[in-house]
Amino acid sequence: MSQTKNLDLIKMRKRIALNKTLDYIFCIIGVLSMLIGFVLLFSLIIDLFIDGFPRLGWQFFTSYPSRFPEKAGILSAWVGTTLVMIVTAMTAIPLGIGAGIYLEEYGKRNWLTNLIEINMNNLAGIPSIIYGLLALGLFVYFLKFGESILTGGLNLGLLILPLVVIATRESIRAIPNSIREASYALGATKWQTIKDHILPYSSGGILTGLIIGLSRAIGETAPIITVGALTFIAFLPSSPLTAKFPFFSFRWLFDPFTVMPIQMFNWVSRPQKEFHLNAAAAGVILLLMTLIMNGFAIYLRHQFRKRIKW
Amino acid sequence: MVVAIAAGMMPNLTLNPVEPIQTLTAYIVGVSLGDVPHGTIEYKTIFAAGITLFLMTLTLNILGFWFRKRIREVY
Repeated sequence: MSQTKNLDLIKMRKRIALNKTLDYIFCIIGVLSMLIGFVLLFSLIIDLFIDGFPRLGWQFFTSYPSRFPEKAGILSAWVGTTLVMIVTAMTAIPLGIGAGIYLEEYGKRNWLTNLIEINMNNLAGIPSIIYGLLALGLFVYFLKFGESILTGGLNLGLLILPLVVIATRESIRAIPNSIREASYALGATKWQTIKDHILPYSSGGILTGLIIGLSRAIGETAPIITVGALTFIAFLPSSPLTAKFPFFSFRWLFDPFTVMPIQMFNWVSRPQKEFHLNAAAAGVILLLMTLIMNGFAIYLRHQFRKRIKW
Repeated sequence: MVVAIAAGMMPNLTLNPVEPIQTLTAYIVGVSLGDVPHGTIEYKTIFAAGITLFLMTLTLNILGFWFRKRIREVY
């Protein structure tokens, strides 16, 4: 009797040992998969920095693109990127948050919302070039905005709109229903509940989604190319601030522009080696811009998480 | 799009994975990098390519939606 029991025990121990080895092997496979992605990305970034760093300097930021690689800079590109991102944020933020609140709080669940949800997920996933075609047909030719900052900004705004809507919905959905019920029980209207409870509690998630959307928009090339952003722009859009009353103008909205990724694309497609170094330097700047935006998103999320306790 | 440039930007009907090919996206970008006047055959062609691409992603997304609906746990 005790003999068989011992045998069982030995079998059991063997099986446990085998499972532990399998566990270990799986862990190693997981670490390796993680390392491959991480090391590849990291070496790309290091390469970019090594190539691009010597070109970085004050002159690089303050000069226009030029035929001579050592004189060329990204002034028109970073100004263009900044202005386009302002228009993008102005369109995507109110529309995206508004639509997200409607779908989550007011909209009823029926075939229409299902249809909207399929569309929303589809729009978040379609290739960005299709937004470029939409903008070419709608903004450039139908509404006659021309190949301007306004067109580019609205285009990128549409591109990230589904991302913002999805982020808004997800973070609103994470709020416990008891909060809404408590608010209604005290006699608050729907709008009061949303304004005083839903929006403040979900703002961390919404802001994170917004900034992630904006950092996607900052790197998009394809939709901007179809709209016809020129690659060689040796002038700045007109200034938003003017000397005369009313001290600001919206002329810059209709000026032609170029953005950082297009400038890089242009430099990369030239045969000379020096231009490739310029492209790497511009890449470093673009990377830093996205990194700062993402860091800001993480910081904001942390701040909002700290304040909320339920 | 920029990633697709690595595929070669060469229209080529082949199943061989090491030959250069061109994606739909790269085609649209390639055409619109030149001047595309409103209403010309090139202008209409890039829209046709775009709608093909759109229908492809739409099909995949509908599949995904249906799949998720089946799998999602309802509490």
